[in-house]
Amino acid sequence: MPSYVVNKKRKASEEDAVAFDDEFQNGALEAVLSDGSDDEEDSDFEDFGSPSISSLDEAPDKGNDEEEGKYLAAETDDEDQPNFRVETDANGGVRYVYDEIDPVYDSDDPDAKEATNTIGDIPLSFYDSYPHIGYDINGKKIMRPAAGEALDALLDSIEVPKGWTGLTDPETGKPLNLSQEELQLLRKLQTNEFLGNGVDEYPVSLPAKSLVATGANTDIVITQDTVEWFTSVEEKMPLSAAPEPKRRFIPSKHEQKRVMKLVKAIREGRILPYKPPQEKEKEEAEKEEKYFDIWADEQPRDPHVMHIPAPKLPPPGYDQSYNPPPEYLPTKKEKEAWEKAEPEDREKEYLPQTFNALRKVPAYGTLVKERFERCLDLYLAPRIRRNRLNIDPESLLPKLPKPEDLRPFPTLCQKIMRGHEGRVRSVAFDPTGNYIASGGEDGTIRLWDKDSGHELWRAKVSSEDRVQVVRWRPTADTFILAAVVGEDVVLAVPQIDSLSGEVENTSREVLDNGFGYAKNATQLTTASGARKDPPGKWERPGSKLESQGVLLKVTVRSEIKVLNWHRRGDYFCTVSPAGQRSAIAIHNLSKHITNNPIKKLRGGIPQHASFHPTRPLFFIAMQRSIRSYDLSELKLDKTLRPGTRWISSFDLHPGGENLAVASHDRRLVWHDLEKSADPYKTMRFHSQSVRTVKFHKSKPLFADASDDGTMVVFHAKVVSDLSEDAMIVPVKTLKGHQVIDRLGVLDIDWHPTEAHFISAGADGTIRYWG
Amino acid sequence: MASTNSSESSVRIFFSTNDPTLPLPAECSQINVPSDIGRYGLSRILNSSPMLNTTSPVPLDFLINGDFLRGSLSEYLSANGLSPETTVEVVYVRALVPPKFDKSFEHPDWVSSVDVLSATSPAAAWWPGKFSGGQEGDERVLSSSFDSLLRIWTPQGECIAATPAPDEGGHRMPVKSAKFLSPSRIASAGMDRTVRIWKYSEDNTSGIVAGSLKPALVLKGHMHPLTTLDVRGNKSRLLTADSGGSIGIWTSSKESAPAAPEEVSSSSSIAKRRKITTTAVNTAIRGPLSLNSHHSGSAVACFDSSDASVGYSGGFNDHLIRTLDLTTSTSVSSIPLTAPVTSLFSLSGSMAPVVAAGTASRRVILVDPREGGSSRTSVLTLKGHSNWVSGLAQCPPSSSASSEGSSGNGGSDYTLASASYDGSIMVWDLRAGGAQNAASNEDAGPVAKPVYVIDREAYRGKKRPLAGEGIKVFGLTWDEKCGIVSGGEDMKVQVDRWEV
Repeated sequence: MPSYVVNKKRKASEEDAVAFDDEFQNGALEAVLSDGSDDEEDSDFEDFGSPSISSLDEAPDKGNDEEEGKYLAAETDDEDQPNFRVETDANGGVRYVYDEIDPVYDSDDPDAKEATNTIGDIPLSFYDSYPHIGYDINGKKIMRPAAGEALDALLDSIEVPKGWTGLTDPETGKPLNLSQEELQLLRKLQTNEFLGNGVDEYPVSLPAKSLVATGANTDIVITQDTVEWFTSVEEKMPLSAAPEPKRRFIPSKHEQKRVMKLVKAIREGRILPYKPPQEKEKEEAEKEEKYFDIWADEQPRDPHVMHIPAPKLPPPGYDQSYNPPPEYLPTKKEKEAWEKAEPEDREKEYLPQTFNALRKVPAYGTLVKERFERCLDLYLAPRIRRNRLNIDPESLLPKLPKPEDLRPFPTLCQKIMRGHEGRVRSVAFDPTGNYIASGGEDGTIRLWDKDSGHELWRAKVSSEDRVQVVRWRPTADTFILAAVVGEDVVLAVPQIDSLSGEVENTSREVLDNGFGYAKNATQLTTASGARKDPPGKWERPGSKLESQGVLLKVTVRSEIKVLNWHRRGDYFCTVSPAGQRSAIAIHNLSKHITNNPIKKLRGGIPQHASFHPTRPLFFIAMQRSIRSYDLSELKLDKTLRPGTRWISSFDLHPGGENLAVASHDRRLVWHDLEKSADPYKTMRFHSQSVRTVKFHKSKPLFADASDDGTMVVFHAKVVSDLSEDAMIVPVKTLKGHQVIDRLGVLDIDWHPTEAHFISAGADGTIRYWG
Repeated sequence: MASTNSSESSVRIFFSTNDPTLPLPAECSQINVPSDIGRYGLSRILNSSPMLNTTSPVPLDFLINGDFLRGSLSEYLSANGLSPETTVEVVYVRALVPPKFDKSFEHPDWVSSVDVLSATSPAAAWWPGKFSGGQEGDERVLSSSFDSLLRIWTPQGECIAATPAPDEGGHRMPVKSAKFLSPSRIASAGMDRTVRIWKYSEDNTSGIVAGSLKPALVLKGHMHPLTTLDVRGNKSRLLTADSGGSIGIWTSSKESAPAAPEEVSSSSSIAKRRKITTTAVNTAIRGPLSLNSHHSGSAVACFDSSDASVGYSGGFNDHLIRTLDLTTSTSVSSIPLTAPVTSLFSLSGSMAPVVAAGTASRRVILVDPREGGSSRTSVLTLKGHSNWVSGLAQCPPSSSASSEGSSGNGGSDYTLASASYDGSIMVWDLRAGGAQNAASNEDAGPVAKPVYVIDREAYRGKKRPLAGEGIKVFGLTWDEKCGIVSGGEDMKVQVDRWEV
């Protein structure tokens, strides 16, 4: 092939273009090709004087050539003349006046086509009736080239210009002429040659002589020197005159050795004799078709740990029978629903059908599909062992004993004591548990018989203020009731004949003893010497009340809400939430002295205060925290944070190590004082604010009272062992009090020994629960 | 009596009784009865001629294995899983007939206790011959009230006598208990810590019965309000308990009573006033034979039914029932209960040594005090009340019980009535305590249910108010003549009696 091409080239260059006609069978195009190439080269050589490969890249347009010439001329002019003039200005100085620069709004890009028609992709026939054929990039009309007259056309057809194609350029409307380069490209395309620019992949190896001779004609092809690895010239004479060596005439021992080796191998049968190829193929084919069991030698193994056997298919049911009982057959509605549903949504994959004989049962249509899906399921379905939490929800609940096992606790309302007009604010069992004292919004203190619920005594201590709190002095040797009315605390020994003279006398003595101390006490004075009001004023309440047994009155500066006795009955504390510096007062009954031991209170308004049942500690509940103060050293001991927004009251467990907090945000909080400032347990059993909480003095019981009219009784087992937590079991919710003006149960108090308690309700009743 | 052997389902039953007034001929004790027979049928069979041969039919009730027969016999057998081929042992007893409401006596305040003086009442029995009136209408009802007065009523509902007002020698506080010592003497215990003996005399000259109650003796010594009073008129002994746990033994005779202990006189104005009044009405004041504290809290006490030297006391706070030797005034033994004791009654007759205790846990617990010690000896638990049990009374040992059906109530020694704060009086038959009623762990011994319930007249057939509000029954007495007399928070003494 190379040699053939070489010959062709040689012919093309040496002889005329006619030779191409024969080769390419396309006369017109070939003629264009050869002519164009010649012409172009001629002009190039004229312009630049030297043949250049790069010049071939330039556009071969006629107009282009003209413009180029013009520029060239301009450039040559500028080189020897300065581009400015020297003038004298008004001052006589020298002034350089430069020529106006003519901005030519043409692209410098040599690739950009000029004078392109911008009408877009529309037929040129639209412009047939116009003198122009469109617009150039500057919006100027591109005039129709002079349409050839019949004679011109004839002439053109005779004198075919270089690269003439006989076609019209749709963009310019001019006859389409192909450049030399384009023609070369086309030729290469036709001969399946490499299209790369200027690369000849079939270099002609010619002697240097012939190369020089043909150089001018084959210039289009970039010639490369062929490296002649082997000579193509046969030498007529040998290069050496030496005679032929002997070894060329004797058999080779080495070869014989090798042949003998093969012979030996054949004899020994190591090399099998030749077999006809057909047989061999057959044999191979046979070999391929030979089946064998790859699992033949497989030993049974234990399944992998993670292996999960596929679940067995459920056995067929009645509805899969060919003649199922009629109750298994679908109704018309069910049938329709089944047919309507998507196959994935169907509950069953089949529709029970009935045939009165087994022979009438048709083939099962979806058998293959079903088997296939089963196989997929067995083989591909990923299975995971889901560790289902098989936990009995009961076991998650804390192990609490049954309420029945925690008897006794109050379960029933056993007595209802009516008599107070308006709400009953407070109730209290006397230390022996035989009497019940109550105070209400009608301003009376009443005494009730515990056994029968009969009213035994009453005293109207105020006509306008309500009785806020009633509390008994907690020693059995006296019978002293303290009641809070407005800013006053009144102390009474109810005048009833059931009281023995001994108790009455002791009680009176206890109340009156302090008068002596009060007389001797030095008057408090301010720095300026003026008399200072004592924090509490102790006096007789007036003869009318005195005849009823109300013997003493203590007045403090602002309204009291809470009163609690010290266990020995010598002190009691009061809380007046609006009292600011005198909010917390501790009253000494034997000396008739009132103190405000804690003046600076942080944390808002004090809500409740109480003495510790055994130790000299004093607890004050602010709105959100409870502080305990050491009374012997007068310093802050501890701060508890129950986490509630508004504490209503609290009560200390008689053991002294636990504390229950009631709050207006419906929670009941249990604190272990030994352990943490944070609550041990927070309980919510009420839908309204919890008013009060009270511990039983000897039994493991406590109860709270709420504005929703209910009370919850808890069993609270407290062990002195620190490692064991208190066990709190709600045992009973007691309902009965009516809710009036969003107030339900206002106070409760436990019987000193029995599992009975009393409650004071906003509905004006006192209820005895047992 | 035609045997019903031909009947396809008949049951053989064996009759027995422990009522000596209703003897059955031995040959008639085993008969066959149709299995669908009920109480009424059995009662008719027994009343027929070859059996009891009663002149007027006696309504009978039948106990099978401690359960009253209600419904038919076959129902009972199937409910208890018994074969109809077995011989069923049936105990026949006189049926308890509920009394009818007779009268109520209005009071100005709550009635705390009642007692009856009649020919069959203990006070008349203690003093035979002293009670003159044996006719109908001569009975007297004594009531004590929370207005601190005692009143004497005729059965017709007339108040013929009342004690003087507090300032004129009467009780100064509500009276908790009052009892006839004899037809002419009355003892009362009040919350003012005193026991008072009253002399009761009747004047019948002008045709209108008028009585007078004059203070005879004031017994002082208790430091706490009294809760209960029990008397043995023939021995002039009084047994009191107070809310401080003290038990007092007193004598009602002015001569033999020791002098009152020197009471610490109060310096208060009220004490002065008291002095004035006591001087105004000059009543002798005496002290206790003995006064000892046996309980930590409130206590109740009663005499033993037969032996006046033995008493029983129950504590509210310590849940104990103590047996007291009254001669030495010491506690012999104690029985712990699970609930506060609110009332105590010593049964007499066949149930003799058993003590019934009403509790605040709404049950009546019967204990046998003989075994004593710390071992609990519950005989029976009566369960049915819904509030504290305040009073107990046994069906009186009717002298006329032998003459069949004269009392008409069918009661016996085994019949007990209990009054409760829930406003009801329940009547129990102590023979009924089926094993199948076996009880929760709280109730030791078998549990019985009431035979019938007497409601307060105002709430008959109506729902009782919550917590017995307004209808609590505080006092209860069962008399042969007057029937069941009770008083309570409804300020009435209610008499329910049987038609004679």
